[in-house]
Amino acid sequence: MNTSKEISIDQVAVGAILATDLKDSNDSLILPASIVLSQAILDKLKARGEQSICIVVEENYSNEQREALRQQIEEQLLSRFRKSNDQPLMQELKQILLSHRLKDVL
Amino acid sequence: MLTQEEIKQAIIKAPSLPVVVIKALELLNNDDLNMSLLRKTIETDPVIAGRILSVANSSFYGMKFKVGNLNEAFMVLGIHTTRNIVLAAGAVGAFPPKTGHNLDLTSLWQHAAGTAVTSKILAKHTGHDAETALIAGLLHNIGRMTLDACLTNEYNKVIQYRDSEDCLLLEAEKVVLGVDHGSIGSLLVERWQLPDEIVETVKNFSQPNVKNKNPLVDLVHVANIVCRGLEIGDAGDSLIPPLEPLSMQRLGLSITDIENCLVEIDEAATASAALLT
Repeated sequence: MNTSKEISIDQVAVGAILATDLKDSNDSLILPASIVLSQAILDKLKARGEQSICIVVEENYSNEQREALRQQIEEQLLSRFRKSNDQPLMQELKQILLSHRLKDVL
Repeated sequence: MLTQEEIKQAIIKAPSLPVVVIKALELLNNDDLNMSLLRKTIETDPVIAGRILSVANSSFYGMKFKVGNLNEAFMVLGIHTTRNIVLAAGAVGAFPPKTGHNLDLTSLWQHAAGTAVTSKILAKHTGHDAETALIAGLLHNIGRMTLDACLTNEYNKVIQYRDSEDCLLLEAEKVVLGVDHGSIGSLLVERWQLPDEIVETVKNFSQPNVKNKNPLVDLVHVANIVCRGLEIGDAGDSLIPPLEPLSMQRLGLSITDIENCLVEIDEAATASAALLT
């Protein structure tokens, strides 16, 4: 599983993922969680005077954890398609969705 | 089974768009738009005003810079987009994202927002009106919210039927109520005086007609199914409905085209959460 860590804005690498919604003092959303931080976004955050932000820290999966996660995703998706196994278009859709969702795990 | 009178009463009982949204939409529909009056009108409802600014500043609308007030927002967004944001803010305001009676409206709105941005992406890809696709996608499940809010006990029976028969919520609605959320939703958006193409989309997106000529119906149909497959929010059931081959054909979309959009859809869906703040 991924965890989050608050680090100085100067230490955030381009491509890091924001872990929690970033809000201003009026509780208005500045950036939603899960957004990939580009150089442009980081520059704007620095310009706004943000000192630190919470980013996602990816943990290294063991092979067993990876396999368990892969199975979980596959089972969930197969369950959602359980009534449409006889339809070729749905089979194709299921395959691309499965590949897409497993990309981050494998 | 619901009688025509019960359906009529449910639509009467269903939330209206907030007054400020109705007034703002009237102003926005006027050829001779008075920006100052529009700003003053919207500012009378700080929640709606805040939501418009929040949406305008979010990557839901892909703005490259931050707007600080409504005047700036209107200038940057233009009339067409402003109208859609006002409408989106109003619809979310009518059914606030929270735990519903039978359904979790937060998850349902997350799915709606995901379907909205997916409809927009697919519309761009296929050369259709992306802005209108966005709104049609956002409102596609508004009938489900109406049923949950206004016919709570009856909808509880729908949920029970879905669970006992392991079927789509749509099928359970038809069996138990004799009507589905598309029909109910279309009556509501018609009451809200939305354009016919959106009314038709809300009504028919789940099962597009063989002779459908409204591309929004096909776009929202495909977008809804893709978002269910990506588990963006929760549409209300654990099954994915069948994808209509004719919709794909009419849009000129292939499964590979959809595959090529998945990363963009994932990113846009994440950003679309701003709509619900």
